[in-house]
Amino acid sequence: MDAVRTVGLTKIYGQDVVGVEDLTLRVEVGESFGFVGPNGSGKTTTIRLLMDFLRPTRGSAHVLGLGAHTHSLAVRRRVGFLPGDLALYPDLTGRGTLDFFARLRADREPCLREQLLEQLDFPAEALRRRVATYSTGMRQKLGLTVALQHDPELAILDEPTTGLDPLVRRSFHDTIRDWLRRGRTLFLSSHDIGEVEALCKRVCVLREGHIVADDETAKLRAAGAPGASLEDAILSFYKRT
Amino acid sequence: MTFRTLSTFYLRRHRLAFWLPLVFLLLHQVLFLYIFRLITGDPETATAMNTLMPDFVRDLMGMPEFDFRKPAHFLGMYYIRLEVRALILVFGVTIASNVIAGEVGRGTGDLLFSHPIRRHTAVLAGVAVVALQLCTVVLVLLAGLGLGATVFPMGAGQPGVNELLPSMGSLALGSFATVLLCFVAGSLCNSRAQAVGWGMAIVVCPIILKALSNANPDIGYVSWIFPEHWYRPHHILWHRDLPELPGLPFRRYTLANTWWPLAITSPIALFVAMLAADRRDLAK
Repeated sequence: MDAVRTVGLTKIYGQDVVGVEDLTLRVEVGESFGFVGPNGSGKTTTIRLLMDFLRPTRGSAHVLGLGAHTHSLAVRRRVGFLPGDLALYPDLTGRGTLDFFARLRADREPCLREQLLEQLDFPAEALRRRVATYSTGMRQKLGLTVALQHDPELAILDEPTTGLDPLVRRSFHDTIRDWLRRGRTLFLSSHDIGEVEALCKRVCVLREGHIVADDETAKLRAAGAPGASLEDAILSFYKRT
Repeated sequence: MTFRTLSTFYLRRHRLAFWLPLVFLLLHQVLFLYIFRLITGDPETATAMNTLMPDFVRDLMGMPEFDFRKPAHFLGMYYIRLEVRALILVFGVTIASNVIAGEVGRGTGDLLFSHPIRRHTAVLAGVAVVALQLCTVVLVLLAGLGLGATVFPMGAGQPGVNELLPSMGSLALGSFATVLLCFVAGSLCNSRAQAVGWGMAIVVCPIILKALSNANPDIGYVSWIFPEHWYRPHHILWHRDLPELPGLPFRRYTLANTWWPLAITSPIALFVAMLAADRRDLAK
């Protein structure tokens, strides 16, 4: 079974603004998959189509073997999602936020919550404070805990470490690596190639709504100029016309 | 489960907007009954007020024979028609604009709807909170008027439960139908400000149109599509002493002439709001 499969997935905004076009993609269960591309290339649109926030113009999307739209509720039961532009309820406390979202998944216990909070070095005292008082890093940590606390089969993370300092970023990576050892699937959209290289075995490069490269991280690096980094190899796909 | 979680969540987030109007309502009831006592206690003032009230205001109200001295008239004009309805509608617009449009506008909808929740469940949870406030308002009104009237009796012609109950029913149903239209706007808009704007337009435009059509029957037809046209809690009070009022038996108590369009409009509006929420793209 594939964790994510899209066939000819297309989203046109309005009359002629292409979000993604004819996107055919396959991510296997247990894979850690990186999704990269310049701004406006269609990464977030693809993720929003998978989460059933947007309805496709054409084509189909399946998540964990279920139609992203037709079985949206069942899909969302099994997926953890961290939005790129994370917004939390500022008047709730950290604990209140975790409890609220856990209650929305009544069928699954938040079994990883305490472990995640510890790994992310989230101060216990902060859980009693309102989210409005949190720094960006604290909010991201809380968001990641919300996404993973029920141990989902697939995590879709949209630029999870943007704007975070290197220390917080490292704790994020360690936490996600630990979680991946449970045999889970990661779909990671990021601008940080280093992050993708650190966490993902396979990378897909998107440009102007189309896939321009899709291969294992090591192979993509090897395909570049001798001695070039993965970042150089991927950036060359950004520029090609 | 998600329905209960969401409705509790909305209620908690808007607890101030929920409770403040009720406190205001209680205080206002005492003030209202006190003012009525002042007016009726001084016949000269009452007569002067009746004389000074311009004809066009009476026409806008749709009540040419309005008399400040009559408890039912006073109650219908100052109490049931304006303040109470305004309080209910402000709360209704607050919730309706928050459920889908507010979540999308703030960006909190991404995390919320990534959980296994149907969007129409969120709409229903919001509607349930509004319905709860409506019931509480009606109870506070009835209890407050009952208790207040023992302290400041309104004298002869004081409306009884037989008049107040159907009035409150009409108040609740009329306001509810209007709020449901606001939920439709809330399900379609991309930001809370936009939804509040549309909600206020849905609330205010029919009131203006209805008032204008009262004054000029030639344009009466423009207001019939709005709940405001069918919303007449004051009607029962104002016409309570008109036994020749035509209509079905018990018309006065069942509001047979006014409830059915609202009873049809409300489920349709709710259905459209739910459908719009489910089918829309969640994007600013």
